[in-house]
Amino acid sequence: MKATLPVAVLDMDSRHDDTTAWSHRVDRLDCYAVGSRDLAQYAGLIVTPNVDQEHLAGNTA
Amino acid sequence: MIREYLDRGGVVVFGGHLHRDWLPAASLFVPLAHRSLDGYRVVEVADHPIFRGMGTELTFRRGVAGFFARGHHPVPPGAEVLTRLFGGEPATYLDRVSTAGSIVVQATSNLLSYCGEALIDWIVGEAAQRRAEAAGQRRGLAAVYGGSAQHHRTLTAPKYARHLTGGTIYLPELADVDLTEYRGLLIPERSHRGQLERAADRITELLDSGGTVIAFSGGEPFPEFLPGVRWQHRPTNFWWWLEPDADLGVRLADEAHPLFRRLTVRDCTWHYHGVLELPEGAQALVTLTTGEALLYVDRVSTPGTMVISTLDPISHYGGYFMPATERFLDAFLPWAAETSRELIIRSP
Repeated sequence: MKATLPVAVLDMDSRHDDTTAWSHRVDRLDCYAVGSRDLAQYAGLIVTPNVDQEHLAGNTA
Repeated sequence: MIREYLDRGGVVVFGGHLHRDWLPAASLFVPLAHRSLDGYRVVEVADHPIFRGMGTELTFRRGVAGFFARGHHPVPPGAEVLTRLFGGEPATYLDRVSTAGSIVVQATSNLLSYCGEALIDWIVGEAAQRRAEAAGQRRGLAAVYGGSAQHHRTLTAPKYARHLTGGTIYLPELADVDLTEYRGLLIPERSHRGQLERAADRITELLDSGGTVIAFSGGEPFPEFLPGVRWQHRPTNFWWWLEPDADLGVRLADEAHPLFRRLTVRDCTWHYHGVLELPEGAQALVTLTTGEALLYVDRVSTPGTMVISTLDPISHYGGYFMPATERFLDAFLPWAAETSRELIIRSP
């Protein structure tokens, strides 16, 4: 089981394999987790270009 | 949620094109007016851990330009530009001022794909520092903002705002702020006296709790609630330098002092507005040949630290006038921020 990592990558649900050299150091989070997940467990959020900004702005239910 | 996360000292790194208002203090993406190879060129990269060892090669990926940034996001006041494009557009900025956390905004691209583990390492260290500050430790040096154009320009210039990690406090709201949550307070010259007096108790509490108060005067008497400050008016000679070989008479009292590692007597010399009588036990740093002080540090009159000066750099840099004031602030503010980190409560 993957341990909780200090940095999260907030992304769309693309389901592609993360083959980057740093994949073991980040936790991939679905952008819709914002609002339901406790973000305080992460040192930082890296927000990628394709996220749903309507959701982040609170424009959706 | 994002705002709340940042207010607890979190770090958010966004790459892309903002088209909705969800990131504090950020503005929407502005695409390049004319997309071209030259326009895509990264011409300026700050010396910052995220980009350490990287430079203008950020422009190309396998010989193709345009991946890194195709426009910009307008930079909020106080944020630091980390990269710029050929046309001067800020492609990356770091905002440590608008919230208790840190925000990096990168136009167009995901910085992780450029900076990899250097970005992750920076986030982890940055978050540790920002969370510690947000969770009980005091905020950094704050500056009183009186609403004037001069104050605004100086206090929001990125190279100065980065040292004001406590941010700015609007003067009419100062009396309602618990200043013991801050390490220090910078009071610019030419601030509204009545509003400052309303906040006298708050400022005194800051000093009593070991904090630092830095106060400048631009010809107005210092507030009487600042202990031990004895100011005398002197007529201001704005034109002394028109005389050949003129000497205003400004001197550094202790060249070995840390303030003067980067600051020269020339950087302290434009004019002055009055002189100060040195309180017993205080340390003069800038004086006149008469021995009267223009800038001193007082660690004896209160449990905290007072830095008092009759120089007026904030008004003049903010008014686009007198280049020495910029050199002064370039050296003074880093030292002031460092000084305000001391929280030694002394017996006055």
